[in-house]
Amino acid sequence: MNEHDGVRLMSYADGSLSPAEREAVEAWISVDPEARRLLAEHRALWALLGEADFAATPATSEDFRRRTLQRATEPETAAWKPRAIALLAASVLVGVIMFAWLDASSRSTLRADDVVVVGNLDLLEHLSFVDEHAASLDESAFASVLHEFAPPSSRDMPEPGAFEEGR
Amino acid sequence: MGPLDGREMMLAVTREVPGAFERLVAVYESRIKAAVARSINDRASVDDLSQEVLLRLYRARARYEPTARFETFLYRIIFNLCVNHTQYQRRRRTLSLEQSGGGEDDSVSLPADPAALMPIEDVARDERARLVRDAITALPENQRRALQLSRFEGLGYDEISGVMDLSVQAVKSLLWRARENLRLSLAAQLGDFADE
Repeated sequence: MNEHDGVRLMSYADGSLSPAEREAVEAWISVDPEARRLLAEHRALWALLGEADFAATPATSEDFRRRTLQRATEPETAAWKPRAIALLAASVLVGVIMFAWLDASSRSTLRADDVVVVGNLDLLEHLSFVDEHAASLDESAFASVLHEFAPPSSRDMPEPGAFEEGR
Repeated sequence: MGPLDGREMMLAVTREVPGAFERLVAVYESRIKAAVARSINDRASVDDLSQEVLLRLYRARARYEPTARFETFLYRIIFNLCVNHTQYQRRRRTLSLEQSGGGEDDSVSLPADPAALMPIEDVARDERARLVRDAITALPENQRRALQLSRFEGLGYDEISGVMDLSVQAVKSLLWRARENLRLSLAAQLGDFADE
């Protein structure tokens, strides 16, 4: 028997058909012995299940009712509060770890501008020195300082006073 | 209104009528415990889960709307709790097996019947009941739950559809397939039963 017909018979046996559907099934089983056999089998199966109900008479207890009523009158927030606090603490911890990680990773990575600054750090420091002492240095000392502290690539510059000689 | 009408009792709880929840607990304790016991294999948890069902009913009192049958509302809570419990137990068992490197299935089975000295007809009936329970337990979970709600809790197809969040047609299909599986696995018992 296909599922459609089986469901019709089952619904008939369970009493869940409309009057018109019920009449149609009754007309069907009156002429079809196989349908009658399946209907009888279905009812027998349902009766067998009824006999096997393993929880038909569970024990009730005064203690169970007392404990249930007691718990019901406890503040309703009690059940979710510890969980909410734990969740909040976990969120804060995750946030702190993320922040620390992002901060560390941003500090360990040099941007293109930073590379230029670091590459010329010596020169920048020397310029700063020259600025600070410009007033107290004469021209040759000034040129000497520049030559002394210039990066290696610029050491081929003319000696101090060369410009003047060339004039 | 009948004295044991669930919807009226729940409405009284919603209106904070003194003693209303106490009455609801007294009336539904047995039915809830039975439904929970049928839904899970872990007998030790029946009391705790039944209590949780009642507490959830109580906490949901402000949201309760008497548009559907109270039983649909109640069995939906039972159904969801038992599904969660079963899934939790299954995960725990899997984890335990993984940690122990496999081994025997330690799932809690249905309790053995304590009535060892019973008449022979009762023994036969008891053995048959055990086989039927085993056959029901072996059904796919959705079929077993639909069958339970239909045959043991007395819910109609439309109510089962409300509890399980399925169409009525899907519920009928589940029940039919459960019936077919049981018919195959209980063919011998069905013959004996018909002969009696």
